Amino acid sequence: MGRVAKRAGTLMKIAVCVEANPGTAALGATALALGLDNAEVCWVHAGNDTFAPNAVPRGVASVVAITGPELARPHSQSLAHVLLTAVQRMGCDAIFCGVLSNAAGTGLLGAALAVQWNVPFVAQAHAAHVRGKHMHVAVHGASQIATVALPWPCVVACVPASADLPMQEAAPQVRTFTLPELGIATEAIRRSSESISAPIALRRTKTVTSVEALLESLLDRSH
Amino acid sequence: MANLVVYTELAEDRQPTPGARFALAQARLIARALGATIHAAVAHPGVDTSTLDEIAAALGGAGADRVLLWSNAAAGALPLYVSHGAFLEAMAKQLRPRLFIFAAGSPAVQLAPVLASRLPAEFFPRAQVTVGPANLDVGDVGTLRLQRVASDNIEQLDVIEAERMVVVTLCNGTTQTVTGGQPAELEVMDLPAQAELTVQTTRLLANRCEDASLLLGDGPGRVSADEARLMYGMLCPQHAVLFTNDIKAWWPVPLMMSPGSAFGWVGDQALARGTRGLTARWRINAQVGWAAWQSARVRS
Repeated sequence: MGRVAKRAGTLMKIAVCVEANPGTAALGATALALGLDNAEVCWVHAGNDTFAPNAVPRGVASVVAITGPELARPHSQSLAHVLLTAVQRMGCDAIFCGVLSNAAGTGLLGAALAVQWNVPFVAQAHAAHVRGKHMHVAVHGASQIATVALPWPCVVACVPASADLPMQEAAPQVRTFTLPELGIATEAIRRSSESISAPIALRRTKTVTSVEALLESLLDRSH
Repeated sequence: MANLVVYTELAEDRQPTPGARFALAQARLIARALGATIHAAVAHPGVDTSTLDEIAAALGGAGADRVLLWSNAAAGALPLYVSHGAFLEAMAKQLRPRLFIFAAGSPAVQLAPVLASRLPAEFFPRAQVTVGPANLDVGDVGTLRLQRVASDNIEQLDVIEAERMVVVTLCNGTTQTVTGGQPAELEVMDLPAQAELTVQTTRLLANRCEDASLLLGDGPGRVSADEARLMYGMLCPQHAVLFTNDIKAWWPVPLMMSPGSAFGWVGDQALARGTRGLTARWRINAQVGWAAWQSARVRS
């Protein structure tokens, strides 16, 4: 079990996975984490770039980056392994991330984190709060919103949100680690195997270039 | 191709949802070209024996050859892996399908990536399907490709060449009708829910908006058009409800949006300026719509 259970409702630690340029999903996840009572929120990033965010929301206690050339376009499973190693070393109780969460935008990262950590996972979260030893997460579904009581630890993938978060005035200090410093063998990092090609025309895709053409396409049910 | 499994949602009238119809129709296209058996995996609460024939006929008509029905009280809640995962993994292990297909929508986001991670399998989200028929007389096994529009390119996976099972979520598309299908063979599976969870469900929209997957909005204090585009492209909902007074503000549309997308309208006016000629699939009262939107907004 996570540290929350051991600490009986005292301070918990939430890791929020962010990209090099945190977008609305990462900020939405950060807003949800900061809204939890007694939560210490940390940003965690992994990539081959220099992670130096221009602004970090007020309330984020620390920023951790794992860097290395091996992390150029990593497969989501490898990215999850790296992030989870760091999160476990930090002693976090839960991970928040965006629903897309990585450059490839596959939505696999949160699920991969949960499977590797062997903890529950929900996606499309838009609200969360802690009650007792559970995190109650509000999840969007088709025509319904469900509030799910998740035990600790858990992984929550959040929808993007227009969170208007106040930023820290000073540039934050980023604690940087390499893969060997985390005890991760560089050869264990699998590159994304998704084949990348130049844009090609899809058989069923109609290209439209104006609002009028879009509306015309919407009405065309022949294809 | 052996087996295809389609995660199939039923509406309250026990007919497949529009998204499920589209996914079954896509599977039928693949099966006709390459030869395969289509299994509809259905999680539904409280199905009694008197309705089994009705479900078998409906899903057979939509393109399924077999129906594997998990009837459990937990199946009626929002599909989450902690409750539905055991059912999905039982399907995968029993049938060893080449493709495990999810229609666009909430189950595709909640279930598919976890299933792919646990099996493990290849995961290909937001796919459009391209099929080339097999001609075994000349040794041609046909083609089956999945393609996805990414930020600046097209990503592609050749399913026939893939070394393991592929879990795919579909881009949304026009609902197709498969006619002439015989009632599917139906088997009821007796599986416990994977976990006991406390789930409270709130109906978000009533009557004609029941199949809306997402509420979108623009304007001060609401989700911006840019963010809504991101959400729309991310979730590929079966349908979208637009909160806007100016559809031109939504241009350009998300790359993944299919011309077959159906639009609803929230407002008291028939249609807003700039939408001349656009037929909204549904319309609800603005007061009801805004109340639903406010209840769904992120409270930061």
